[in-house]
Amino acid sequence: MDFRFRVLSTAVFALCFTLFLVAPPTAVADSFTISVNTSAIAGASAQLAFDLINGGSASNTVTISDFSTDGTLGAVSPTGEISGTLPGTVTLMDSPASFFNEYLTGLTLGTTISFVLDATTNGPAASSSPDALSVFLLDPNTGLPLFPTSDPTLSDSLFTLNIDGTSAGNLGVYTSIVSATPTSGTPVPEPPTGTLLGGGLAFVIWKFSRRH
Amino acid sequence: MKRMCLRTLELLMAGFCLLITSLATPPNCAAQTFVDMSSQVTITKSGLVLNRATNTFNSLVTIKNSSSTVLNAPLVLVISNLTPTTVTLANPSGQDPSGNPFVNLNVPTGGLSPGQSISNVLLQFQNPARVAFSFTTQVEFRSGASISPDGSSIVFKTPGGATVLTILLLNQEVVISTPQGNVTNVTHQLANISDDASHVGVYTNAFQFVPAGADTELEGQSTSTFAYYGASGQLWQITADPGNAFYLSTDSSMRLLTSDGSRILMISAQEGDINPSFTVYDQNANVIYQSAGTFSELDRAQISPNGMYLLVMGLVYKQNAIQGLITVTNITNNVSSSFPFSVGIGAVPVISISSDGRFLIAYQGNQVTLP
Repeated sequence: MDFRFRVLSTAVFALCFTLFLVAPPTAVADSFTISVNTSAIAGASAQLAFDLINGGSASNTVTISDFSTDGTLGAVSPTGEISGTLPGTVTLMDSPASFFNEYLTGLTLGTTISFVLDATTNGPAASSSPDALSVFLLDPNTGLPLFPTSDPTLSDSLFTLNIDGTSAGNLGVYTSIVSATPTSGTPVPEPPTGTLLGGGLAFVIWKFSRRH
Repeated sequence: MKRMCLRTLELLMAGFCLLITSLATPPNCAAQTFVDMSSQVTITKSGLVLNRATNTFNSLVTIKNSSSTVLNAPLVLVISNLTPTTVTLANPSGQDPSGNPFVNLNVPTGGLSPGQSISNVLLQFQNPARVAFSFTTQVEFRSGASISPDGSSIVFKTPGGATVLTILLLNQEVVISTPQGNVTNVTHQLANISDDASHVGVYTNAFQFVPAGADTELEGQSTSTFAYYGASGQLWQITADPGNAFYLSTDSSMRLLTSDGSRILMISAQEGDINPSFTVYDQNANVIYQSAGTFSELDRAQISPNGMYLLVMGLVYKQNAIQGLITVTNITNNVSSSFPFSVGIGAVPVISISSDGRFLIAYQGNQVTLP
């Protein structure tokens, strides 16, 4: 009995470990290096807004890291599921219970703003809208965008990332002062669900078989 | 000859009046026919972006023709199942019969070809509570009639989007040949369109003139048809016996269709509008009402907007006298009210009935309350 259990558990372990090794990374993260040239409006008071809006059943996480500016950051006003503070890493999350998630920070503009943007890639369910991250430069007095852009939603965002379930997402840049470059040329891999499950199951079986 | 010229003039005036009336009263979208075309398109929605100027959450929709056929205008994007109800569409072009808002789609000239897309269709949602919301979209064809860009005709389309009928208000001018001249075939074609533009009644009278020898009388034989079109195309058609022409309104105040086009009044009369008879049909060519024999000569006739009443104004020939008469008949129970009047006092030949059938405006603007 003990021998048969060991043979069986070893076979299952081998199968799970193989699955862990060979399973392709099907889930990846959108990742872009964003650079905003604000030299033309340097010295102006502004607000920098990151809006993550829930489009449906899918939940996503957006991380802003490596933030850098020669301007001066001001007061922060977060809304929704936000963690962290710039220039450190800031994370925005959405969920059915958290529709509008915004990281809003005051900013005296310098000549440049740059940061790395990472987003998970959970696409919308059928007939739902995708989650979207849109970024704005706002007038702190009016709360309206500092200048018009070619944003086709007529919202004057600098750029918008539609998290449509594809590996790169759908990034639209609506002003010439913004440049967006995919980070390292390749998306940041995330372990796929099957790989994680396979690895975890293999570990449990390995521990269980050692106990026997 | 003289009568023919007068009829021609009447037709021209009727066409002009009908055109003006059609242009002045845009179709009521609430009663138009909307046909779901979603199986022939792929709809993609963008994420939501907050427009801080309008305080709306904006989304862009792309519609791609995934079928193998051209999709013709007019197409609309209907927004339905918008929940919760505190969220509303801020930029609707109208509402469909179910009360769902829609926005008009800018279909390219010539239609949306297979594989072709309509991009950046903007949806603006008011969401003051900033709560998660959902909605569904479908592309629908708004069937019915529309005025051609040059205003010369009414174009009627099927749900498939194809133009099945272009109705010229006056298809062809009457050309009178000389008594010794060639045979002239004349076709009159006039349309009567329902208020909601969902139905069209078309009268066609083909008249073949026959040279009549040395005299100056024009003689000929007419063939009349009356075709009835609904949103799906032609519903039915009746052809008159030769020599017993259908009468067609030559006055834009003569209503042959109910507001929603579900009933149509047909008038048959002998040449000279003598001995008219009246028949009301439904969409399936069922006879709802029929009458004849009251009037000697027809002046005006009309079905009420709600289809419940028949108005007729005309003359009754009596021994040594002619009497004017207006009758209002309840089509449901065939009970009539009569309003006789004296002819020859320069009355203005206009009749009209209110939508609910309770008020009649007749000669000289007198208002008569119906029983």
